[in-house]
Amino acid sequence: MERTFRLGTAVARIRGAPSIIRAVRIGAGDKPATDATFCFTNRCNDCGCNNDCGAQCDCNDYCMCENHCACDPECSRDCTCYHYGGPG
Amino acid sequence: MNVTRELFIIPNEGNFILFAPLRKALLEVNETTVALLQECERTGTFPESDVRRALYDAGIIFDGTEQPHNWRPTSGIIEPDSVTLFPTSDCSLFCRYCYAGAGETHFYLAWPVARAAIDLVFENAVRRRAKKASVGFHGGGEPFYGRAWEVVQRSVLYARELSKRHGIYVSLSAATNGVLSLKKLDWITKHFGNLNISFDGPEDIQNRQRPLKSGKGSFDHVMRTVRLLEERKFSYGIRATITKESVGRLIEMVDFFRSISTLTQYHFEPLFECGRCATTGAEAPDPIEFATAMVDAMQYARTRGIELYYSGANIDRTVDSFCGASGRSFCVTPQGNVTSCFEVSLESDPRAAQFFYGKFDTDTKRFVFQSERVAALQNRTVNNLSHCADCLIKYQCAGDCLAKVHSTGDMFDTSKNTRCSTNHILSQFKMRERLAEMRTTTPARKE
Repeated sequence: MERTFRLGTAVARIRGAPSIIRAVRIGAGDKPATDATFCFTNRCNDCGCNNDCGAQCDCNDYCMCENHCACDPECSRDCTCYHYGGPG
Repeated sequence: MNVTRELFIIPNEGNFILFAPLRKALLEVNETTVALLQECERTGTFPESDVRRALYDAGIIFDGTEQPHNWRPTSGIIEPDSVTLFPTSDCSLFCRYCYAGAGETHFYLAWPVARAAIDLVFENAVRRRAKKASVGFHGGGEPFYGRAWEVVQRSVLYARELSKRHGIYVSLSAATNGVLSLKKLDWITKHFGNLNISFDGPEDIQNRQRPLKSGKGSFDHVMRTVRLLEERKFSYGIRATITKESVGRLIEMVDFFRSISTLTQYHFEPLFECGRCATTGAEAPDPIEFATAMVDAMQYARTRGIELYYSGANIDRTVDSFCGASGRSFCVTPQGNVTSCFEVSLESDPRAAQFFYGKFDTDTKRFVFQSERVAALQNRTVNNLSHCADCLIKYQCAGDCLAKVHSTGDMFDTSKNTRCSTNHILSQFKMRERLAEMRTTTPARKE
């Protein structure tokens, strides 16, 4: 496990030009972009609902749900706690 | 120009991983980028460049002030359109590590209580014009065991009736130990949407850790259930508890589950020592040993098209609470109490004082909630956990499992949480893995 820091406490110096090597937008259902862009446009919103709807299962440890976000019953997007083979 | 408040850094072989959880941004950058961001924090400027534009697009730097994240309020109000019924505290198995001591008590949920819970869920769903309501069944005991079966059947049929009447889709799911008669299985596959089976894997592990009440093995029973679900292409999941004894066999478990199932995801959780562990001596794996074994197993599984899920390391979510136990879950226990936590189901559990927030009123035939308890639970968010304030995964782990943290003394004090190291190791592994899947965007320059 690597140590982690807040920005202000990390030790870093300017050594040449800034560079971004890789970047990805995280989020339920996000897939890695396939082209060499900065990838900040692949905001997942497959189901058409609000990706910040706060969908959570009742119990992460003993999840039973298929999609508890209740945003769209026809939605094919997995909820954040998803661990089934497909919606029921 | 400002820098987002929640920005974390992981040194990474000469470069740095930047993680901005509230911006859902994960980047690998060089040292200069970090230094310039630090300077930006002080001076409010960042030199014009492609990197500046990319950081701007990612929301890591921005003009003006950062809007506070829109977390759910701690109102003390709960109007659920989802319920989890705990039909009984009794069980057909005598698992060595059972958190609920299932089978040691014999409480059964009464039908009027179950019906009132389903009524409430549909009332709320209708009022808010929701398209969906959910009815689930879970422990402490085995929900399909003994006379609990009758309440389950009545509940399912009733929920379906209300679904049809109101035009609201109902999601029906259950967790089970998988020891089920063919008759019950037949009914379940016709009426439920999902099943989640607790199954610890290879025969010797399953029979040792999850024996029948009689002491005989349960493996053959659960295998029959899995075979039938597979034959019927029924939607189900497998959740395995990992103990000190089985932690060295995760890859073997992956292979075993692959050999019996078409699932592409398995759920592995480390045992948390509580409940029956005190008398059987069942032991949790060392947290770091578990995490290390999971990393190996995840890599092995990934190459075979399988994902391994662990609840404490989900980098794709941005939340302020770990689960619905923070005053949002509506679970009804066999004794008619309302609890927010799947793991706290008995009145004798000392944690009931925090997690029980209501009760079925036999006079009015309705549920009565204690809003101050709901508010107290809703208040248990990562923003109120001082130990988590500077944690990289504060908005993914969000203070972890309330019941487990509570077992160490205080659910608001996460400093003694034994799962922290596991959650960190696995989350960081997933971040690196996710970044590694990306193609390089611009070459790193080192001068």
